[in-house]
Formats: sequence, C-alpha cells, structure tokens
Amino acid sequence: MKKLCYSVCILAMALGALAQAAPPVAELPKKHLELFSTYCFECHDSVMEEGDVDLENLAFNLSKDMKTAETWQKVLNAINSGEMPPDDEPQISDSEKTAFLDDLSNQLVTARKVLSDSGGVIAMRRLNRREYHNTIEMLLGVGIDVKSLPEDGGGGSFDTVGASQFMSSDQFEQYLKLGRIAIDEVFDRRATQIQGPIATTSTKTWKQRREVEEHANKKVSGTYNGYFKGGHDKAKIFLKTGTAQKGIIDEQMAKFRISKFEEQGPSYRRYLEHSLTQKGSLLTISPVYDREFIALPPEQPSGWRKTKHVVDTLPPGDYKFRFRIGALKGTPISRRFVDLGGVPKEKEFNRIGTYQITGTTDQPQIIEVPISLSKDGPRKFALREKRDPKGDLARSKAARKATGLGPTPALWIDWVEWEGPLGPPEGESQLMDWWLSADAGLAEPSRARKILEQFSSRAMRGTKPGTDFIDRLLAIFEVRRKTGEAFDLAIRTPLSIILASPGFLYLNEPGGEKERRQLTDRELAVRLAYFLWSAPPDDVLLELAEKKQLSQPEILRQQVDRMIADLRSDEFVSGFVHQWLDMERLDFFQFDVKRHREFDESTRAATRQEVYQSFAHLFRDSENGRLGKLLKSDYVMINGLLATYYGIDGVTGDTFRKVKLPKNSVRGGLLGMAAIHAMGSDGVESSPVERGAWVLRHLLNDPPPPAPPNVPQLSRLADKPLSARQRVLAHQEEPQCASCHRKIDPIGFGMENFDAAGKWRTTEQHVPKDKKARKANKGKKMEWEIDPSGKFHNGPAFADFSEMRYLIAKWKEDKFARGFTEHLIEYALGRPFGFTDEDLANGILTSAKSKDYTVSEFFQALVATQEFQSK
Amino acid sequence: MLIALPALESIGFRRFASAAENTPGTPPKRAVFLGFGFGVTEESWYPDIKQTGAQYELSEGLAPLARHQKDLTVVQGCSNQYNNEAHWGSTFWLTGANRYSVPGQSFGNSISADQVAAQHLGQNTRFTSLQLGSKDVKGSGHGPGLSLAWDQRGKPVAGLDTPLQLYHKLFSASDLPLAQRQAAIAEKRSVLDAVLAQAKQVQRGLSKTDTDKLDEYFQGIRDIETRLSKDEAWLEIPKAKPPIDEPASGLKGKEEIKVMYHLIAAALQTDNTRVISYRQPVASLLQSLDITMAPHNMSHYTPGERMQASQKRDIAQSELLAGLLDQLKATKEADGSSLLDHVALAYGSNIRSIHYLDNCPTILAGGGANLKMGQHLALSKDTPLCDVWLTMLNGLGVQSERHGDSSGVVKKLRA
Repeated sequence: MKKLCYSVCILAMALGALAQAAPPVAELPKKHLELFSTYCFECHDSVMEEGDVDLENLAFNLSKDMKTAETWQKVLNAINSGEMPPDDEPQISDSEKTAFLDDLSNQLVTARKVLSDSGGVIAMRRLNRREYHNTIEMLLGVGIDVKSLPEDGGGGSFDTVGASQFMSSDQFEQYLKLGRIAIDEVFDRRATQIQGPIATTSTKTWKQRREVEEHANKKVSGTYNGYFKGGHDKAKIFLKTGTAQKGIIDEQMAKFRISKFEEQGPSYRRYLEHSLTQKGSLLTISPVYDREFIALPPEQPSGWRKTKHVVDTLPPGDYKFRFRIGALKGTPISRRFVDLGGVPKEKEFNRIGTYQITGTTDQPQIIEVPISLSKDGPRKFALREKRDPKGDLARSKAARKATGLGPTPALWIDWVEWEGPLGPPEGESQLMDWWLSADAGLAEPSRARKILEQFSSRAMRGTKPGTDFIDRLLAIFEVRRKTGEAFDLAIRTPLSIILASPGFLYLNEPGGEKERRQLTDRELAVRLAYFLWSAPPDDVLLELAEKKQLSQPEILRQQVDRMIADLRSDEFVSGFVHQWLDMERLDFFQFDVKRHREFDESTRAATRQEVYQSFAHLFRDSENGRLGKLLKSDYVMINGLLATYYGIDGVTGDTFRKVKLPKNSVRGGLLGMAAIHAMGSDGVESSPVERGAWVLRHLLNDPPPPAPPNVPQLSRLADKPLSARQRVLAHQEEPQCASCHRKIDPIGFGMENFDAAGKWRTTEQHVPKDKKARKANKGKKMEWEIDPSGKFHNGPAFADFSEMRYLIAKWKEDKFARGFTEHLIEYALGRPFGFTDEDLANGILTSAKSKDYTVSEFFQALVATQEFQSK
Repeated sequence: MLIALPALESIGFRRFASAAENTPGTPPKRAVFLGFGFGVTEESWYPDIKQTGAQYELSEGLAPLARHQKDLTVVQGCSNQYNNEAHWGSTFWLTGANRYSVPGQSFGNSISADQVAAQHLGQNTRFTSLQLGSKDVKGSGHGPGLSLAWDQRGKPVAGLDTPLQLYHKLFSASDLPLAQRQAAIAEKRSVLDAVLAQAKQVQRGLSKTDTDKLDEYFQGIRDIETRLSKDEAWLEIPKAKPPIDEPASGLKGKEEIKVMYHLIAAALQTDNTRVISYRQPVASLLQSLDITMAPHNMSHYTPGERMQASQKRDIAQSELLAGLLDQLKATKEADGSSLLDHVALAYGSNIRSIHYLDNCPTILAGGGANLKMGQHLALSKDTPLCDVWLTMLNGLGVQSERHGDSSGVVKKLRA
C-alpha cells in the first residue's frame, strides 16, 4: 500500500517538474471506488444524498479545493470514529478499511499541503526570540533575559517562518522594555570601564577568595546545636520536669524533637567532626550541608564584609568564578560531578554548568567558570553535588536504615573565589563605537543626532534611518533634557525606541509581488548571517557586501565555510536541530527519580548537547562529515558525564569530544542517543509508539498523519500484565489504528532495549499499580525478556536493534537526506517547504550526494541557489 | 474612538456603567470563560444522557457542584466541526475556526467569543478585557495560542501568567504625581509616532504579503493608542481598593487556579473589567494533586491508574469551579442581587476526552446572558459549539447573527 501511495505522489511531483505551473494533486487511488459503491452509495449517492453527503460526485482529487478537502476530512472522521457505515449496514472488511484509511489520511495531509502552499513567497519575518537575544548581544555586548517574549514557531513550523510569527501590542511593549534594560546595562558597564573597578588598589579588577569552612561550619553547628541537640536537651528537661521549654509545650512535641535528634544528629556530628571540615566544606546529599552558597557580594560570615573592597551593589560585567574541589576517597565515579547554578530565590536552582571532579581531597583541582552578571540577574549562586534533589529524602532514609547516618559525602570544597569585573576580551572591538563623548567637539543637539543616527544605522544592519524618525527621537530626548535629565540618561529613551522599531525587528527586503529580484549584497549578508548564526552580519560580511563582492560564488563559498567554522554557528545548530528533531519533547516530562536516578537535569542537558555536538561535528567536517553518520557511526560525541552514563571507559572532563566505540556498540548515531530515547518516553516508561513515529518522521521522511480525533481507544487491556509489545500490538486489531500503527509499532519495538532514560536493558518489568491489581498480584513483579525483533511494514525483517539500525543506515540515507533538505529549506528561507520546491530540493540533494552527503555541502548548495539569493 | 469619561467625584464602581447600556442601578453584564485543555473523564463527568431537563442527577465528576445545580446548565452534544487537532483543546474552543481556511497558509483562526463580548461590554471599564493564563502551558492540551483569546484578525492575544501579575494590574497604583503620569502618556504617544514614522519608511517598496505582515505591527501600535486613550481617561481615577490580599508569588496548580478565581471575582466586583478568559494550567494541577503522570498520558486514560488520575483531576476542577460560584454568589451588587446573577460563565474544552473532539464538555452558569439554568441539555449531535456562544453573546446584548460556524441560537437555552 505504501508503494502505491508513493507512486501517486511521485507521479504528481514528476508532473510538477515537467510543467512548472501545474500544481501537484493529492489523488485517492481509483481502486477505492469499489469500496464506495459497495458500502456507501446506497445512502450517499447523488440521488439519496443522505445527510447532504453525495459521495458519488465527490472528486477523488482531494486537493481540488477547500470544500473537497473538508468533505474528505469528514469521510475520514466518520470512518475513523466508527460512525460510518452504520451498525445495521454491511461493514467494510478490516483489510479494505486499513488500506483505505492509510491512503485517505496520507493523501489528506498532502492535500492540506497543496492547498496551503505559499507558492514560494517568503513573508517578511521579524527576529524570533533567539535571534532577538543574539542580535542585542552582538550589537551591545550584553545578554538579556528574553523569556517575557513569546516563543516563535510551533504549530509545526520553524521559528524563522514569517507567516507563522505574530506581533501584538503586548509584544511591542516588551520590546521597548527589554531594549531599555539592554541599553541601561550598556551604560552601567561603560561606567564601570571608565571609572575602573571598585578597588582601593591600583589593579583594574578585584579578586576575593573565601575559605568556605567558616560559613559552612557555622551553619551546620548552628542547626545541630540549636535545633537538634538543643531541642533534644530541652525536650529531656521537659519530660523530666514537666516545665514548658522554648518550642516544647507538650509531650508529643518533646518526643518528636528527641526522635529528630536521634535521626539526624549523628549525620550532623559526623560532618562537624570530619577532619576535612576543618579546612573546607563537605557537600552532602542530605540536609546536613547540601549546598555551598556563594553570593556576590559575599554573604556573612565570611570576613568579606570587613574588607574595604566589598560594596552592596556590584556593577554588571564579566566575572570569573573559581573553586577548589576534590572527591573523597572511595567516591564512585557517578558521584564525581558538581553542579553550579544561580539561586534567584530560596530553593530555586538554575543550572549553569556541571563539572566532573577528577581531583581528590589530597590533590584538589581548581575549576574556573566565566560568569556574566547582569544588572538585575541573580547575584547568588550555589554548588551542589549533581543529582535530582527530589530523591534526597528517599536516599537519606535508605542510608540511615543501613548505617544510622545520612548518605556518605562525596565532594569537598576548599575555597571559592571571584574575580572581576573584567574588561572586554582582548581583540574585541569597542562595542559602543556609535557613541560620541561630550568632548568630541559637537554641540549637544548635533551630538545627540549623530549618536542616534549611528546607532540606528548599526541596529538596522546598515540601513540609513529616515530624517523624520531621527527628528522625532530627538524631540523625545529634548523633552527629557528639559526636565533636567542628564544627557547620558535622556539619550537612553530614544536609543531603546530604536530597538523596538520595525527596521530593527524585521528583516525587511523590499520587492514586488510577482517578480523575483536578486537580493542586494547587503540583504544577502543579512540573510546569510541569520541563517548560519541566528545573528546579524559581522564587519567582514558587511564590508564584502559594501564592495559588492559577497554575491560572487567563490567568495560566497568561502564565507559560508568561514561562518560554519565560526563558533557563532552553534546558534544555528541548537536552534535548527532542536526544532528539526522535535526536541521540545525532551523537556515535557519529569523523570521518575526512583526508576531513572541518574537522569537528572544535568544528564538531561548533556544528552541534549550530545545531539547538538554530533551534528556540529559533521557540520564542521567538510571532509568526512557525512550526514548518514547521524544514522549510524562508529564513534560518539560525549563528555565525562555521558561516558559515565553510558558506561564508556576512559573519558574524563567536561568537553565533548569524539570517542571511538567498540565494535557492536549500540551507541553511535541518533538511534543510540539517550536524548532520543527519553523523548520517546513519558519519564517513566518507554513509548514504542512515540519512538516509532519519531523515526518515521525524522529519519525515514515518511511522517505518519497527525493523531486523528475520535478514533475509539482500546481500553480492554488497561493495566493487564502485558508487555509493551502485547499492549501495542492490540493497536493493530482495529483497522482505524492499524493503518498507521503497522508502520509505527515495529520500529518502536526495535528500540525497546532502551529504557525511558536511554539505558540499555534486556528485560522489562510490569509492576501492577491499580489498587485492585496490586492486591491480586501482591508480590508478583512480572518480568520478561524484551523481544526487539520485527519487520518494517512492507520491508525487511530484523532480529534486534542493531539489525534495525543497520537497515535504516544502509537503505534509508537518501530518505533521511531528503527530509533534512526539506527542513533546511524551510528554516533557511523562512517559509514552509512547498510542492513548488521540488526542483530546489532535488538540486540540493544532487549536489550534496555528489559529495557523499557531506553536511556542509547541503549548506553550500542551498546558499548558492537562486531561491536563497532572491526576494 | 469614543471613550465614555467616568464620573470623577467618586470611585464607586457602579458609576462606570454607561447610561446607554444600563439603566441606573442595573448592574452591568459580565462574561467569564474558563478553558481547561485536555478534556474530562467521559464515564464519570457527564450526567446520564437519559436524564435531561431540570430533573437530573449530577455525575460523580460534577458532584462538588451539587450546591450550585440550580445555577448551572450542563450542555451535551456540541462540537467544533472544523477542529481535527486532537491535542488542541483551547485554540479553536471559542472561535470555531477552520485552521485551513486561508489558502496559502497552514494556520488561521478567527475572533474568539470573549473578544466579541469585550467589544460590546468593555468600553466603560479600565480594562476592556482580561486574558489570564499560566506559565504552565506546554503539554496541557491547549494547542497554539497565547491565551483563550484571538483578536478580530484571528491573531493570538497575550495573557497574564500569574495571579501576582493580575493583582498588580488590577490594584497597584502608580505613586507618581498626576503631571508626571500625564507626561508619561504624552511620551508614549511620541514613542508611537516615532516608530510609526520608521514603519512607514520600512513599508516603502514592500510586496503585498510583506505589507500585510507589517500591518500586524501597525495594528499593535494602534491598539496601544487605543489603550493610551483609555489610560488617559482613567488617569485621575484611582484604582479600586483591593478586596483581597496580595497573592504569594510562585503559586502552582490547584492553589494557583484557586487564587486566580479569587482575583477573577475581585476584578468583576470592582468593575475593573467585564470580560475575562482564563486558560487554566493542567500539568501543575496534576502535580499539586500528587499525580505524577504527564497530562497527555492521563488524557489517554484506560481503567486503572490513569483513569483514577483523570477523575481526580475532574473533581478538583469541579471543586474549584464550585468555589468560584460560591464567591460570585456571595458578592452582592448595589441592588442586593448577587454578582453571579450578572455573570455569564462558560467552562469547558474543545476536547471531550482522550482524542475525541465531539460532545465538548460544556457548563454554563450565572444569569448574565439570560440563559436557562438548572438544566441538563442534550442537544442534537454535532450542534456547533458556536451556537452556544452565539446564544450567550446575544443574551449579553451583542446583536450579532453569527459567530464562527454557528447555525443559529440554541432556543432551549434561552430563559
């Protein structure tokens, strides 16, 4: 059936290629006519027209017009829901129904695409949230929090697609507000640089180290002596004398405090008596001392307050944070990681990074982290052992049960240190080059005008601002000046307005509706930069554009190579890959800490990085960066954390690198990555359906139609002790389900050896959860061997995961490349991939294939096309 | 645009009602829409279809609403015929639009019922309408959109995400002197003029498609201008005194909804606005009920753990709604009637349960739209949900003849 369906599509596409203007059609195979005459026409022919539905005259060309597509949608819904044919009429056989629904649902997707094809027109787009952030950063050198802006994209399109972006009054006001925050920060940083850092010495930066034990011991001993021991002692007095003590007024309370002391006291005492806490602090994973807080300016009691360097507010800027840390003897490798995070509020923890600890308490290591402090951003940070704190209580209980003490501490910190604010890195040009100082020899109005013109032109990527606009900005400035505001303050209002104006927010390219025109070199520079960097063009690009050289093929090719090699293209990688592979799902679920203990936030973040890094590695390897390596590779891109997670030896450190895999490894390629498995789960169990559908969508370029509404759900198997396979196979009993699930399910089963968090397993367990079932099966934890074998629908069979992956990598690279190309076109051009793009996609694929599908070649080929270079 | 200037000498909220629409002393009509994303548990939420009319027994899932049975009506049989998106419970709920209605585009929507109501009821209040939501929206079965509301052009309208934000919007006064606040408004106008000048520069030479795109920007600016005129008209009128305390920050789940409901009642009571929509959180609601599964998993319930979770969610939502109705009843208008007598409230989702989009769960409450309460109404299968919205809008005084894909008013709903 699949073949037939495809031949229809291909035929339609071939026609489209022959005669450019002929739109493709979504046609239902004529053979289904028989099904209609047998089961439907009795009521729904042109004579009876029951329910006003005349199927006899309904065109088999689904994409004929909106109305036809709508009627077919209704036919699909009626059969899916079991409403038609009515119960008292002859029923369609399962196999006929499955085949019909398969064709109809797929052709309807095609029809929707045909009918919503924009015909290659690119709607003007504005900076999406990511690009806005990066553009402000490139322009002003400050990174601001843009969470208050709506996320773009969604509804199945990329965030670069103009037609799917919105603009509203609320959003405009956000732009004004964020622009002001950014401008203020620039001025604050500038003030820091001019005045020099706050220091009494002559050095430009200050540096402060804090020995952590003082703070830690004070806190731990305070809690121990005050709450636990103190409470215990008072409770004893109460029980002996009957006299109320502070906080203890009855027997119940007294007993509670005694039991608390007996429970927690020993762990606190162990901490205080530990020799290492005399010269540093231990990080525990129990309440004893589970975080090392580092505030800026440092909190009491550290002695820092006494120094004359410390002030209440520190200027925003770039700082360096260092800490000296080591692991205790006997600490298992999985516990040799520390998280650093911002702590805006009590109990919140926004992870900044995770670091593997290779040092010991005898030979600690020093870790240095650059931290950019914004004006209103967090000033409090904390270090904690990497873990999901949700599991702390259970871990503490288990440890106390075994030893009477809380879990053994794993990490020890000697000291922490701040240094900063640091000046701009060497080689970075003066960011405020649009600024004119008061001694520039200009009268105030001219000076203000010049500043606004220069900033405007820079913000608008080289377009000169209109006089009217600048006049109005100046007027606003002058009103503020008249109220007595200083020049440096009054100028900020018009500067932030520039950052909310359309010339900054929109990537506008003038043009007619009918004729395509070549982009100017400047426009090409802008398009290129937002494609490969999600950021504005740099001076190199703008200069080449100025000289009208950028559009010369050789120079363009060099520039694409340069831009890919530049680390700014990481922004492309994370932005594109995240959306291309639907990685949003990775954040949908909280993982069950009991079952997936190691899969905490840090691991989750690392698994996401693995996907990005694997892509980036191929992207930047113009020799051997073959796209197909995402299907299967003999290496992985991992760091120490992931190596520990995957059980791969010999990798330490936080940098991702290429690690050769042993033969027959299940890792290597997207199908072996934990992020992909976790996305195909609900945080507790694996979901073969999600995984199968994901593989069809992203690797095989054969996306199943969207989950249809109103299909009866199978409920009879719920909570029966069945394997995932048995459970999901039930899908295929009903033709409504089988039409899609016969393709989806076998692939999902092939991946069942990976649990919800991507760890390899060979057995699967069923733990009855329903109250009734629990009683019935008390103590019966069922376990069975996983059977990953299967067969692609209308394709070859496989015995296990490795065979399945082998088949996909061997036979499906073309399909994979095709899907990748379509997505890349949509992302790059900022409009949905349409049927009118067949030639474009084929051209790119031909070029890329001639170079073994080297990833960078897709980009070179796409950038070289007429479509990319014209409006 | 004309703005009715409110009376200056007093801040008694009743005065803001314009004489044209309400005879003096008649409390104004209000509309509230509450959407909860993924649907309900079919087996235990809907009352028995065989018992209709006034004599019916509330289902298990609606049991917490028993004390309000006379003041609400459960409607069965409605759906949005064009919605085929099994995970979009809010996108088209109040619009009834066909996402493919615009050729050449893969997504389109139309105005939502609350925004239609706001055009009519929102002229004389400080806020034309309020859109509420939650930070917890992903995976909750709402679908695309920034709130339940979609404007005249079918573009999403942004909402306030937290009870605290809403509280400040309603009750926090600026402590700047009047002259400075006037200057601030004047400056905002200059800002708009400046960006408009720039927008015109950008507009030159744009294609038709791009001009349309830039129009969104122009429209945004015009919306702010309208709002500024309104701000100006309200400049000298102090904000109402808050009838409740400032909510804590960081509320989540059940507590978040509960406090939002309190604020909805407070906003109506102080006549800050007459139209409110609220796209409720789901994932955090489940978490606050100690349900660890994700909303989508729960929505695909089958007998057992998932169904129990789904039912627990139904009951919690019914309890919350009952609490809101309690409050609307307890709040008295100047003429002695209750606030609920003048509110038309709709509560529901575009998703029935699991992946079903027919028989959308719908509860109507209050006397604001002169609808017949105390009934269990079984409408014929696939009655457009927009017929209900149209009936409600007519009852609120909106003289339109259609809304979305409506086919007419629901006569049985009229009191």
